[in-house]
Order: sequence, then structure tokens, then C-alpha cells
Amino acid sequence: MVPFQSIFEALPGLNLILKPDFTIVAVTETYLAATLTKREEILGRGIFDVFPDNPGDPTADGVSNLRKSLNTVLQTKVIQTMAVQKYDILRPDGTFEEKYWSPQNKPVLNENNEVLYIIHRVEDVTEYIKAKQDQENKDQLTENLLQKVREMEMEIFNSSQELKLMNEDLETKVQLGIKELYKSEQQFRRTLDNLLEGIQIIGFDWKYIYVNKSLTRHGKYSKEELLGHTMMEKYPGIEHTELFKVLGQCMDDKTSKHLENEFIYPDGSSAWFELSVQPVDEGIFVLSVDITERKMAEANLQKLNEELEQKVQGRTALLEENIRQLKESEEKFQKVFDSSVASIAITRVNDFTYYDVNPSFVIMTGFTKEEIIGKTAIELGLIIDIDRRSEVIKQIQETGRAVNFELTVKNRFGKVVEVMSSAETILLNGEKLAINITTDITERKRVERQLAALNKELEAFTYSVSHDLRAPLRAINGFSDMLISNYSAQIDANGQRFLNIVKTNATNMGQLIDDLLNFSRIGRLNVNLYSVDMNEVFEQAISELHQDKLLPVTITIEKLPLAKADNTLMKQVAINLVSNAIKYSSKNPKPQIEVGFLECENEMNTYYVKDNGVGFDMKYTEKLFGVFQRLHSVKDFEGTGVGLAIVQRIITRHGGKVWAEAMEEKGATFYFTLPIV
Amino acid sequence: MNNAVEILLVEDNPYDAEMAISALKSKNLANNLLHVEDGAEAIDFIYGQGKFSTRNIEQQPRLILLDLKMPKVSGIEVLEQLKGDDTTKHIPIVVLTSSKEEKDIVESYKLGVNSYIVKPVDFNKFSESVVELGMYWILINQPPV
Repeated sequence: MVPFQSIFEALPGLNLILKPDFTIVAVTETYLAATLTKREEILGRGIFDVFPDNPGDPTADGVSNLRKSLNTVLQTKVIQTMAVQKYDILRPDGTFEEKYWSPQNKPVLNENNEVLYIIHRVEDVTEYIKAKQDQENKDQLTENLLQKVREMEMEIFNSSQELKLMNEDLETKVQLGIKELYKSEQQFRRTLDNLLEGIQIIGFDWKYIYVNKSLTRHGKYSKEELLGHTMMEKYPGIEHTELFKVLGQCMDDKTSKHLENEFIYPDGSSAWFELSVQPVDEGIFVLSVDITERKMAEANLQKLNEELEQKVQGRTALLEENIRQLKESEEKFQKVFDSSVASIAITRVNDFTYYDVNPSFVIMTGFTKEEIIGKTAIELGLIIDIDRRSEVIKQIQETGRAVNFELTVKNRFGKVVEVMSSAETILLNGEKLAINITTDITERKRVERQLAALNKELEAFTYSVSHDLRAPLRAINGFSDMLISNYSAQIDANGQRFLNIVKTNATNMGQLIDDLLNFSRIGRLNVNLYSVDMNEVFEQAISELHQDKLLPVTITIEKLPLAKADNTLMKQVAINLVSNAIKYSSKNPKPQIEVGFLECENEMNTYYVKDNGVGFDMKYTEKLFGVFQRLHSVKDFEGTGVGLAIVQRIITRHGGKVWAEAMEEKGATFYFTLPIV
Repeated sequence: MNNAVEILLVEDNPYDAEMAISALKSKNLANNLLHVEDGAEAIDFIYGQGKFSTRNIEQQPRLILLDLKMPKVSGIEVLEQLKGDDTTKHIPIVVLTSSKEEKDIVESYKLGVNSYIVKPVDFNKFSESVVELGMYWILINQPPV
């Protein structure tokens, strides 16, 4: 069993291996074919014995040239490329065939730099040389044509050189193999056995002829289990695989194949192999390398690459999105900055010089942007109250912001502007900046002052109304009363009735003034929000109403949740709603009032006061809460028409709403909402 | 009969004054009542100044009914003066006010007023309040000796 020999013999090039004494020890198939020889006839014989000069050609110098070249190789131990040689071949019938060769002799050295073998390698160039000779024989051949042939000759020579280079790698391997081979058969076997690559030789009958150790590992069978058995026995079903087809082709066509194959074992497991299949005399020679790990690594790498790709894509998309958003927000900010009505100034926090200002700021201060940038507000003379500014700056430096501080500034033209500012710090390129947004509140301040003055006037007005308007009413009322009690004898019954009408109207007008004052006061009062016990509010309201007169009515109060409200104002609401309910249910023989809780929605509690009184027509519900709006005549139900307006004003000031549901003669329910605690 | 003034009514509105007097009279509380028409006169009376220079200021009224809104010297100023003076601060003062304007009431209490009456439009209620307070301060609440 000589696998390397088999490989060598299958090489495409025309090669001979010679011992230093020029006896032939190996030959490729192609060489045999080209020289019309048989291996068994030439192995062990001297090359010149096998290939003598053509005795019919007196000029034949092939042998002497070759010998000279081989001897040079032995001496120099360097590769020798010979010129194209005429070296006729002895036909089996004893005649010679004219042949031309392009030979090359390469030494194979051992560790001691001694020539072990010479690889004699040739290219058959007979056809080209013959063509050239033919042309030479014919005198009419033009110089041109001759030149062409010479060029062809050069080309052939060059291509043989190229071929040499191309096969060099393989040759090296072959040389090494041969070295091993001829050192010792045992050593060779051991070497093969110990090769990491799996080696198997399979006969034409598909029986294993040789396997090495690695192959038993690759094949998952011991040497004994494999040798002498067919592939199909050991791997049932293999005859249907692509691999089997390839191996068969190698056998049939004597071609070599190189492939990567995933091999499925009978137990279902699999492994990847790189296979090199060479036809040999006995069948096929298969070299296998386990590349499962590499494949897995490749697959992993592929997966990692894909993942990486995906990640990179994801990141890129994210980055692009970020950039887009950043750009958008930058654009937005720029737009806001440029078009804002508010003055925006960006200052450096360390020295409070201006870094950038917007057009509104430029207009407000009266300076140009160029004049402003790099200077401080003090340098520009904008600041009137320097202490106040220092206070604000300190706050910005300490807390990073200042909100809604008011300042008075003086612009370039001496105009005093009252402003409200907020500042927020940001980091830009490592520098701490403050964005100051300033609004001109001069006009607002003026209006505020005006409003305050108006409010004061209004207060004075209501005070005087309450005081001065009531005095004459008191007089009308009081003196009518004194007239009735002290002069009853002089005034007849009709006159007394008139006086009573005067009195009642004066009293009503007094009530009206009181209600109106109360109503206007609620608009001005501060609402103090606390947690209010609504049950307590209604109980207190009812007990106050009881104080005035005994209430001929059943009032039930269910458990009410707490509300966030002003306690005093809530009592007014309760008094108004309950007294309203009492008033309008007074004509029911069994008046009933129910105070309850409906629901809690959107953080608002809904309470209600329900009566079984006269109710009202829902089409007038809009008018219910207007000042002086009444749905019943004073004759039926007395009142000024301010109570529900007060209720609405109070509830609205708490952020709640009030509404009513009713049917005529079926009672009314008043609902109101208040924020939860 | 003791002629010393028991009630000093300080009221610029003559009709309000008449009604108050009428109410007090009906309960026999107005026998020794003096009506002055503004704060300046009230001060003069208490300190025995101006047209009251001959008055014996050892005998101070047992109750002052004081209107707040008056010309010249307002009720608040009178309160401030009398309640800020150790010699006069013991005199009970009941404020008569036209409105419930809290400002007035709070101010009055800060200055040490003893009580107040909101003058209602309804005469009956007014007389009831005046009589009630008058009775309380004149008959029940004895001054510190």
C-alpha cells in the first residue's frame, strides 16, 4: 500500500523520480503514456537504459545533454531547466518516434543536504517543434512565419516554466511523501496512521482497503470494523448520497475531486469534512479533514456577523434618528429662538457675558447683536437694581435656575422696562450657559396697578353702597314702623296696609343689597383650600337654618367624602342649596330633602341636594344660575334670585361645576362638583 | 334723679339716631342718653373739652354706642383714642355698623371694642339688638369700680 505513490502517479505532469544513480523509482501515468512505456518495465532500471539515444539519428544528443544536466543537479543541488531536447522514443516495435521535450531536473535533498532523489519532469513539445522543422524544411517559409514559430517556442518554454511553478507546491508535498515513503515502510505507515487527516483507500468493490487512526475517529468505526467491509454495510443509505455519487465518479472516471461534505452518521449525528479524493490503482484514495469546528465557527462567525450587521444597522438607524431628532429640535429651538416674542439671551454662567441673543432681545434693549455679544448687562447699562441682579445670579449659580424673577431694566434709549425672567442652565461644548427668557411686563404691570386701583375703588364703592344705601332704607322702614305703632289711631286700615307695603319693600331692598354685596365679595375673596368635611358643612348649615325658624322638613344626609375646598364658602353653598330646597318644597305636605354623593370622576367628587318640591321646567335650566334670574314669581316663592348665582360663583372658583335636573312638580336635584382631597 | 349721662350715642345720621333712641326709650333706657353727631364731639365729651369743658369727667357714661362712618373724626379713630387711653379704656363701647364689611369688624375688635351691632334695614330687628345690648351693658354688666 503506497498511497503517496498513488497520488504521485496520478499527477497530471510528466514526472520521473530518479535515484542519484539515475535508476527510476517512480513514474507518473502521464509520463508512461507519453513515452509509450509501462511502469513495471521501467521501474528499477537506469533512465538511460530505458531511454537510449536513437541509434538512427547520428546527431542525437539527448542522453548526453540529460546526463550533463543530471550531473549538474547532483553537484549543484539546484534545479536545472534544460533547453528543448530532441529525444526520440523507442516504440515497442523497436523503431523510434521523433520527440521533443522541455525537461527540468529538480533535486530532493535530505536533512544533511544530500541528494536523495531527482525529480525529472518534462513537457512534450514535439508537435510545435515538428511544425517549426517543417517550416524550416520548406525554404519558401517567410521570415515572418519563422519568427512566429520562434515566438511560439518561447511561449512553450515560458508556459512550461509557469506550469513548473504552479505544480511546485504539490511537488513539495509529493517529495516529502516520497521521502517518507522510501525511508521505511513502517515509519511511513506510522506516519500515515498518525496523520491528523483521515486516510482511507476504498476498493472498486467499495470495501475498505486501508484506513488510518484518524479515519476511524472520523468514521466512528474501528479499523477492524471497517477493513474488508463495504461502505454501504457500515453506512446504510450512503449509496443515495451526493458524496457516494462523487466517489463513484472518481472511481469510474479516474478523476480527482475536492469537496466539503456534511456527513450524516447512522445515529443521526453529523460532522463536516473536507475531502480530497484521488483515483488510485486499487480504487480511490480519500483524504479527510474534520472541519466541523471550522464550519461551526464559520456559522457562528456568520451569525455573529449577521448580528453585528443588524446591530450596526440598528445603531445606525438609531443614530440617524437621533441626529434627525437633534436636527429637528435644533431647528425647532432655532425657530423659537428667532421668532419668539419673548427676549431670549444666552449668557455664560462664569462671567454672565452674552453668548447669543434673539431678535426680540435686540429690539428690547435697543443695542445691536454685535454690541451685545461678549458684554454683560451691567456693561450695557441695562441693570437698574444691581443688588437684585446679584441675587438672581447667585441663585442661578447655586441651583442652576431661577424662575419668574422680576427686574427693571433700562434700554439704550433710557426707556425703563419692567421684565419677568426665567433662567435655566445648560452645558454646551463643556461650557455652562444660562438661557434667560425675558418677557416685557411693563404693560402688564401698568394694568395690574390700574386693576389694583380699580379694585380699591370698587371696594370703597361697595362699602359706601352697603352703608349709604341702607341708611335711607332703614329710615323708610323704621319710620313706617313708628307710624304704625304710634299713630295707629289716626291711620285707617287701608293706610296701615300701605305702610306695611312700604315696609316690606324696604326690607326686600335691604335683603337685595346684602345679597349683591355678598355676591360681589365672593368674587374678590381668596379661596383657601383645605380638606373639608362636607357632612359637617351641611350639618352646620342646617342647624343655622334651624336657628332662624323650625324647619318643617325631613332632611337626610348620607355619608359624604371629603372635598378640597374653602370651608366658609362651602357653608354658603350648603345654606343656599338647602334653603332653596326647603323653599321650593314648602308646598309639598311631606317635604323631603336628601343630601348625597353621586360619584368620583377625574378627581372630582359630585355631591347633590335633592328635594321633592315644585321642580322646574328643564328648558329654563340655563337661566337658573344667573343673577336675579328666577323661575318662580315672588308671590309664590320669595327671594332675590342671587342664591344660586352665589353657589355657581363659589363652585366655579373651586374649579367645579354646578347643574340641576328637575321636572315640574316632581322636585329638583342640584349637583355640584369639588376637587377630591 | 341722677342726671349723669349713662349712654353716649355717637351717630351722624339723625334718623338712625332717632330710631335708636326710640328703641331704647321703649325700654326706659334712654333717660340719661346724650346724642352727639360726630367723633370729634364724642372725644370732647369724654375729655371735657370744647363745649363740654364744664362737664365733670369723673362721671363717664356707662355705654358708648358708636357709629363707625362719620364725618370729621370716624368711629374707628374714636375707638383708637378711647381704648388706647388707660383712663377711658374701661368704658364699654358697642359699635353700630351699616355693613358686615369684615374689615370694620376686625379692626374694631383689634382696637378693643366690646361688642357690635350691624344695623339691619328691618327696624324691629334693629331695636331688638339695640335694646338687648343696651340692657346688657347698662343693667347687667357692672363696670369695674
